[in-house]
Amino acid sequence: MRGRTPAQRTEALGHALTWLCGGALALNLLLVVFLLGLLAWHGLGYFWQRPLVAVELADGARLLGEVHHREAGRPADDDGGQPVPDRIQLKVGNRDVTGADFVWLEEPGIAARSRPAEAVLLERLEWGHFYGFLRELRDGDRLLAAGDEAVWRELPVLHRDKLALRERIHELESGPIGRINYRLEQLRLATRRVELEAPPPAERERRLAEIAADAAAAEADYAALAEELFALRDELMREVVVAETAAGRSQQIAVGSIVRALRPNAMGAGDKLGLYLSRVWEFVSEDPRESNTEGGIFPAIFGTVLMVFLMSLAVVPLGVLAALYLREYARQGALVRAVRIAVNNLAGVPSIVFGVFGLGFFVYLVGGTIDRLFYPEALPTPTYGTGGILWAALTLALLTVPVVIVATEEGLAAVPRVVREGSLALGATKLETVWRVVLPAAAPGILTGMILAMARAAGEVAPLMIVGMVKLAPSLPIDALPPFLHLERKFMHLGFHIYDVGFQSPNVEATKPLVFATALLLIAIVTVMNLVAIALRNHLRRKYAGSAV
Amino acid sequence: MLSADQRDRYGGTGGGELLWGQLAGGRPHDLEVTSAGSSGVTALTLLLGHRALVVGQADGALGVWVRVREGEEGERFRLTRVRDFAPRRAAVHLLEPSQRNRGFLAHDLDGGLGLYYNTSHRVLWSGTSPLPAASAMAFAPKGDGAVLAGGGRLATVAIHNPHPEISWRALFGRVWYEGARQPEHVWQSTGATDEFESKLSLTPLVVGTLKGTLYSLLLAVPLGVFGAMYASQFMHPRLLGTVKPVVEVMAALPSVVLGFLAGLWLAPRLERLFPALLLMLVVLPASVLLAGWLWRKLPQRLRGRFVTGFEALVFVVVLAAAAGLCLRLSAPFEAWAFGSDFQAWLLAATGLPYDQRNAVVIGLAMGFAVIPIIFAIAEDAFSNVPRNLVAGSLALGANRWQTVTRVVLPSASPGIFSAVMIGFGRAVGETMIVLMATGNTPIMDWNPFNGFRTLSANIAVEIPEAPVFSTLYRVLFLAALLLFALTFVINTVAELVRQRLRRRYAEL
Repeated sequence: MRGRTPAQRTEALGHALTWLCGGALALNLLLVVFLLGLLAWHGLGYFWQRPLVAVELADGARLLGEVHHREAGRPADDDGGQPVPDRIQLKVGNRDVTGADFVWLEEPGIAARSRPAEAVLLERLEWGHFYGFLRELRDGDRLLAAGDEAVWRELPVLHRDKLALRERIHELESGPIGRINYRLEQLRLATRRVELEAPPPAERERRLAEIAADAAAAEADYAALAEELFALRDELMREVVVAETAAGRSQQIAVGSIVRALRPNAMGAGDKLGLYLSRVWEFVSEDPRESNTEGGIFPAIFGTVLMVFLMSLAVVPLGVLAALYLREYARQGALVRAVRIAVNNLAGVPSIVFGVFGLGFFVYLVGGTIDRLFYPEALPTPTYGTGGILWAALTLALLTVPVVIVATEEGLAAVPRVVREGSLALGATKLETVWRVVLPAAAPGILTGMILAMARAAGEVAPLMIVGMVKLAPSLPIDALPPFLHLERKFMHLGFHIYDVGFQSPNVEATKPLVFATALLLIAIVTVMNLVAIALRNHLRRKYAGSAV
Repeated sequence: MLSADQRDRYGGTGGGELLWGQLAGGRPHDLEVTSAGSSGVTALTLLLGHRALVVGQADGALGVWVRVREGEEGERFRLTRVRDFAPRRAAVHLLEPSQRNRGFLAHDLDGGLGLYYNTSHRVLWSGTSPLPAASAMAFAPKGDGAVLAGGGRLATVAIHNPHPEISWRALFGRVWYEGARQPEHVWQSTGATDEFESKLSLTPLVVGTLKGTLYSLLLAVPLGVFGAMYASQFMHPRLLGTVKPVVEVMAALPSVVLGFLAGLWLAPRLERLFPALLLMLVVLPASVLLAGWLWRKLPQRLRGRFVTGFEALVFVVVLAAAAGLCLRLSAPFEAWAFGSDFQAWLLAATGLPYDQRNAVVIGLAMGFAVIPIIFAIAEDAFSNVPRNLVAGSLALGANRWQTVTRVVLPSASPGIFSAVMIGFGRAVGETMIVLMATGNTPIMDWNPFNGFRTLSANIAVEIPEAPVFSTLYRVLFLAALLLFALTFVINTVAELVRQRLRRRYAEL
């Protein structure tokens, strides 16, 4: 800095500080990119099949599994700190045998490792993955195949049959048996209703007898179906694979309980890619298994979409009407200013407060009243007086209404004055002008608001924890039983799924990849929606640039 | 008298002395004698939980005594007067504890009757007895009434007090709870047994909320405001057009995802690599300065090909490299500066333990959530500064930086103020991140290395289990109201400031 004038020195200082500001901005960008990259890396990696590694330890123990994680150790230091060796985390599965999915191995303790081509991975309906070697295929005492290759040849044929059988069982359970359960529940409620109404004894007897006859018929149907179901289940579980773990323990696994049988080390890149896609599809289309730690997340996706859809039905009319009034009809004065401040305030209120409001107002007040008036026979079990998808949607509608108002107002403000004046000059009334001319022109603005509101609702979790989400919903809010759309039902939600599986699960380590995949899906949905909304808004701004009022 | 769990015995004398002894081990220990003043002890009773002894005296004095741990290890107990109620007009001769909560009835010889509550230190009701000559008294099991008897007559009193355990002091002040060494702020709403004394102080939660907010604003304010300043003042509009959507996407990231990453990904890594974070505080700015200096050294011809503000994109790469370097250097730096283990050093040097899920993790995660909000509003304020002000300043010979700091910054400062306020409001109410990335322990201190519990997370944790319309349920609603009021005031102020600013700009 020697030999510079004070002006030059201030300029140099200015440059330095400017760079620091630029650095602040750059750090923001870096954080976003890093976060998205991290999620993509972990989330997409979840579906990729890694090779199976057979490990022999120095003490002679044998293990088979996938290397999940490597951790660098630390050399000994001068102050007498113990050296920490490098470690690998091996997913060894076989939860039913070993009790834990993962083991940490210290590198120096590993004597040998190999990738045996005949090692199999059996994805099971229960107890997670099985890693080991095929030995026999049995039907009770009858040996169907023996030896590694023979079993591997026979297994796919048998497995295909079992998959078809499982499909049939599922249809039976969700179809006829579900309908009978629904009928029995209706009959129980009908009995309650008769008791509540307390008709004259003769009529009461007659009605109760009718109900009892119906119930008996339903029970008989149920018994027949149950018998069929049990027979099918026995059939499903008849053949077993006898497999051996790396440690040499023999294990019997019913063919019907296998989801996939793989030999990862013998797979080519094309096979692996096919497996990858099939796993992605399973993830988005299947129900969760093993208390949400495996399988898919279809109910969570479905619940999120339906809830967001219901919410937009409520929020769009409300928000658009409010914006229309504020922009087109209201006189700009103290009142409108107060309303604007209130709207902005609404946007700043913590979401948990909306949840508490929804619980107190929608669930207990409105829902409780509906229950007393329309569903007295079901009490004390609440119908609407408990969290459900309708209350969740309405709560989120309140939360997102400012978003719609602000975006719609911007859309309305962008409609040029000449368009309005032209319409009025041609003899249209104010209502006609607003309805036929201004609103269509502001449609992109409204759409922007709607998409932003939906994106916000899709990612919001805190209020929903209070007003209607559950970790595992037994049935979807839409099904084949009347009235088809069950607004009172609890539902699953992607965001809550992340919280629940990530933090409330018994086996956090094993489920972390699944949570990453779920988070990635949620982020992808939200980000795409936002980018679409931003693109729409920019399009709108360009279209009316310079011609605004 | 004997406590119901048969572990203590108590007694009082006409000379105003209290006697107390333990019965542990099946053998009576020696009695300890404590003076309760000169007036004789006329009535004694133990409240629910067998810990708090209510003492009525001949002069009408009414006090609560609890055995309090003493000594280094808390090995000794001493009977201590923790609370005094306003004295009654005459000697208290009947005391009756509630079987449901820490309430009790006191009857005096003057025919007065009072209903008291210990924890909240409240006189719930005081008046004349329906049976002035009562010689016996009993609480109804549900606590909704009492029966008095005396002189061959019976009288009943109906009691309706749904939430006796709440008072301003119980919610916000220090309370001397049973078993505590001194009065303190505690939130512990439910316990293992029905005899549990609920501790419903909101103060630790408010402190936790402010703590989380403070640490996140420490990150978010500089990054948000300076980033916005750079973006609006030093960047080519075309570049700004691509940067802004990125920040908007940042704003849209669901907080549950941030919380998940903070709790399960960041927290365990930070525990191992905390020295790297300290390194970054120095290395990152230094690397930016170095990169900026090198950028200026590039020939003008080459630099001219890029739009202004392009160097920020270069900084992204530089920062990534520098951060990677810090992570690599973490272990050597730790060994050099903290003697091999940061956590051990921290405990030895400052006495602070290191929790895995702590305020620093929250500061980073919630800061990340707040940055885009501050950025968006500050950017708005900066770019709406009338162009003629900037042009005038530049025309008078000020350089770019002088113009920004002396002209743009002062005129945009109300907007920046409101940006910070709105960021504050967002951080105060944020739920999922704190729920997932703190231990949710309602501790009250400002140590950055331990967890805390915020009002919002507390609501999310406890309201699903709170019985409808119970005291806890209502206290949680009160917490929500508190949050609402806080953000309402902040947002209104911020919005008014912004509106004034907009009008001022319109006039210019």
